Amino acid sequence: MRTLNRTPRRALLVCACAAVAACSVSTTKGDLAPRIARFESGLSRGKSTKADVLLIMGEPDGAGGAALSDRFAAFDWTGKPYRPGGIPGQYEIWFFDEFNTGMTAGGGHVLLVYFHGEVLDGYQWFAAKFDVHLH
Amino acid sequence: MQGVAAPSRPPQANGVALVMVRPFSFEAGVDDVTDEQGVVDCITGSIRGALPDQPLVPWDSFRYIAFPNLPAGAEPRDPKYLAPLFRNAEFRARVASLGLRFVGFIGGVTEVKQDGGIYCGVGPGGGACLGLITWKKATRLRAGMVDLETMEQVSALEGRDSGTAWFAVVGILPIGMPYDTERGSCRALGTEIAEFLRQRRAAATEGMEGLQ
Repeated sequence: MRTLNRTPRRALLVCACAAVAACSVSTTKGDLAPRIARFESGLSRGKSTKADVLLIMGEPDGAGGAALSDRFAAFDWTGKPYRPGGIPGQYEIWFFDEFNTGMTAGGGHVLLVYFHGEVLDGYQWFAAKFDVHLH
Repeated sequence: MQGVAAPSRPPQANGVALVMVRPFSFEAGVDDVTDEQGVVDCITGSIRGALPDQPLVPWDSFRYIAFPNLPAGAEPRDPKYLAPLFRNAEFRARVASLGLRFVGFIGGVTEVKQDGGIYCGVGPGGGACLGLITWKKATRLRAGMVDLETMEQVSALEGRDSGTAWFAVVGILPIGMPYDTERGSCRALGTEIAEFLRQRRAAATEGMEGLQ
């Protein structure tokens, strides 16, 4: 009798798990966290290029620009003045994001990569977590 | 010098890979191509029919070799992001074994115009419907062929097809006829790409004969 009772319960549990899994939503192509880890360990500012970033991160989800204050952007990260031809404070930015949402919680990552010309000049990333409330 | 074989030229890469670059359209009555793999398979089949010996490199084969650490779908597809990679000597060496020469960036949309309507009525003796709905469809598929040696778009090709799908109800009997314009346009585009490749091969053969 026990076996007969367990089987429908198990089936119900499997169905419930499948339903919860089916309700999760993902915005991107794979988890960004391992790629950010490879980015931090494998690339170096002032040396790595756009090609290096593409090989580790893949295609950006967006691109844009930034004009930052000359007070801290007139020099590169080593403290040297920008090479001739480079405009201090002006960057090309590539944007990577990934968000996953389940039934009750979600989270994701955002990575901004700054280029000065073809060369990687800096990056910043954020991790976010949020609760999901259904109304 | 007799008996010494002349150094053989490395085999010329002339492989082609096709990839869908989806345009995002928010225009009313304009649909993106949804069956991306189906369209690529259809174009590939059309090229194979016209040029059976043309090397065709599946995008997945390119992806596995070029981006082994990236999850599927994350790899660069936009020409503006593939360009810096193909200018990189290390990357070119990595994908050299594929023999790729051209990448065809495929995109397209289907315009749909709906007309007509179905009207139903109910009376003491029962109910019935009468009407006709038509969907005039026109699909435009385009391929930008990029030569990986120069990273320049060498040709912009197009395949079009249009037709009308319809659905009617007479009494309680529903009848209809679908029309797949994506299939017609992908076949047309495949034929255009095959013609482009045939011309490039003829030009390359003439160039080789000129050198001899």
